[in-house]
Amino acid sequence: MDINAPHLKVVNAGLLSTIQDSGRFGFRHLGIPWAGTLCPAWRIIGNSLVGNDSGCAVIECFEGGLQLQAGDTAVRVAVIGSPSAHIKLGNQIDQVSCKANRSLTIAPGASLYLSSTGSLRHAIIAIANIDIPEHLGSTSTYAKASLGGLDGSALQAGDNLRLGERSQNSIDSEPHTYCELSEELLYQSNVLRAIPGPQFDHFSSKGVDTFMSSSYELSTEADRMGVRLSGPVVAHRDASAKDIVSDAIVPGSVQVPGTGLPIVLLNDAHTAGGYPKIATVISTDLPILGARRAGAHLRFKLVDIDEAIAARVHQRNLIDRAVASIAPCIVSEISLSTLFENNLIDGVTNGHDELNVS
Amino acid sequence: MNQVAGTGTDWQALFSGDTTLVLEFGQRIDSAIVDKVKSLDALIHYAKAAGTLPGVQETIPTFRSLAVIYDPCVIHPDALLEHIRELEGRNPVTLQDTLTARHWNLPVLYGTEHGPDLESVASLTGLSIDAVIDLHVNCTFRAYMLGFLPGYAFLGDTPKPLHLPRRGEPRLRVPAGSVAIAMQLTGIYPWESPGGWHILGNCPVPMFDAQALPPALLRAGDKISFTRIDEPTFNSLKQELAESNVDRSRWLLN
Repeated sequence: MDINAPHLKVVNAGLLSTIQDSGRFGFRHLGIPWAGTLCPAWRIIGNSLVGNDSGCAVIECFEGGLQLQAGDTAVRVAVIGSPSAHIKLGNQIDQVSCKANRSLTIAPGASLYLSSTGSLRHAIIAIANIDIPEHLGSTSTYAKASLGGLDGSALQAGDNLRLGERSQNSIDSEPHTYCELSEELLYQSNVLRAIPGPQFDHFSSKGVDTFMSSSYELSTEADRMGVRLSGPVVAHRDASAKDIVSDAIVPGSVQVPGTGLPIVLLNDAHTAGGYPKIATVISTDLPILGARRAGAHLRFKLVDIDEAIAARVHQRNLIDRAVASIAPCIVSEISLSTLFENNLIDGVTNGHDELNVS
Repeated sequence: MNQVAGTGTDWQALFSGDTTLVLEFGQRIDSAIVDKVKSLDALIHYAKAAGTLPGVQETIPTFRSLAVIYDPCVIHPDALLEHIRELEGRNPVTLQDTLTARHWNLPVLYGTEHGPDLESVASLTGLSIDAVIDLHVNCTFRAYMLGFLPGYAFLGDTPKPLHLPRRGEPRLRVPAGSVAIAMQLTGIYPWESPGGWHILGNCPVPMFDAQALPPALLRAGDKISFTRIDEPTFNSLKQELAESNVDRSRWLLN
């Protein structure tokens, strides 16, 4: 890569940071899962904040530890997720704390530090003009088949993310913007709405009662493939009901293997599997499983298809409203890059204060 | 609260969340079911290509069902099922004849360190090693479905004398290319992966190429035969595949 071209360098990749977009569709029949961001709303809002199309690639970062350094040109970014995420801009000596859910400028040579994703398990970082090649119609990383991302794998220290040709100066002259995320789009609910699954009848009425009335704890075995829950054992109808001839799986499928403990499958899960599925978490509530941490207590609430569709419409409206509400920051004339360029930050902050720019 | 969304001529539609309907034809592995799944899949794809099936994103054919993925904000599942029933009504004859079933002839090195379970399969089935190989190479398989791993095809039916349950202890690492059997099925691992099937040998032809379109070599409905190759042939084929871009149609019989 031409090091003089606009780019953003991954100095630290953190625990797990991957490039994701809306997903890779049309290949499930070949065993290729969709991948894509676990919280689509965050991707859409983040891209809007930095002036990208909503379908642009973003970085999905679990827990934090991410450091991105600008090259010779300033880069506009936005971190979307918990308002308590720890975000700083600057260099090794001077850093200033920044807020999530607003646009930020990384000055030439300076870095964005996402040290912690705060109260939620992951955050997304939208980057103005990010330019990632598509692989089978998508930039989403699916490392198992070496698809998407920069080279088919998660981000690593030393990676350079190429930025497009649009003049960074023109972006920089536009005012910074922010978005107030409603509670629902922070996905902190303890309730997972679900529709009875294709093998609902493989469970005894006692098993179904257990599933519906118990609280399940999100275990530490949770990744982009799925999450294991711990709690009361869900009884199958009989021993023969514990295995099935392989059937399709989608994100949200709640498999109950012989152990009786539910597993909710997510974006990177296999496309088919041989365990009975008691329910399917509705599309609207799936982001909760990417946002909540191990130890969270969750309950399932069975709903019918029309309630699920109403929830989907409601969430789309919420996202549309959030995007429509994006507004310039009040003190937009204070450009962080200008502050850095003029070395005005020195002595202004001890690095722990919140620079109140929104 | 009901999991059933509706019924068709040979299937019942089950909800798999708010964006997928599973049209279930049966609950066992049976090539007659696979034919029906394949026919309905083709009908849906023709209609989708013609623009007469709004809201449908993609389908997943399996042994037992056809999963139809759709956007319920574009089409209500009741209306989608009505569309699908109309499609079936207008096309009562199975489309199976019009589908071009590709026939692959894939080279396999049976036994050696590449087929660590060949001997145990022989002893478990009471057959000689050569008899096990003969049964496997004289069978024409059919790709019932893809899944488990990208590009992994479930092939059936393995000849009855070779039907064995999965190994008691799954291996943590089954090498890419391993040709393995369990129950009535045969599979070729596109990737190194954990696996509990009995490994008979190895096929050097890659099952998945991320740079190719489509990336998976096989698709549901394809026919597959195996040809026994010796170790020098296996090694030279491996080398050739590693060094050059080999046209995959070389292994097509038709």
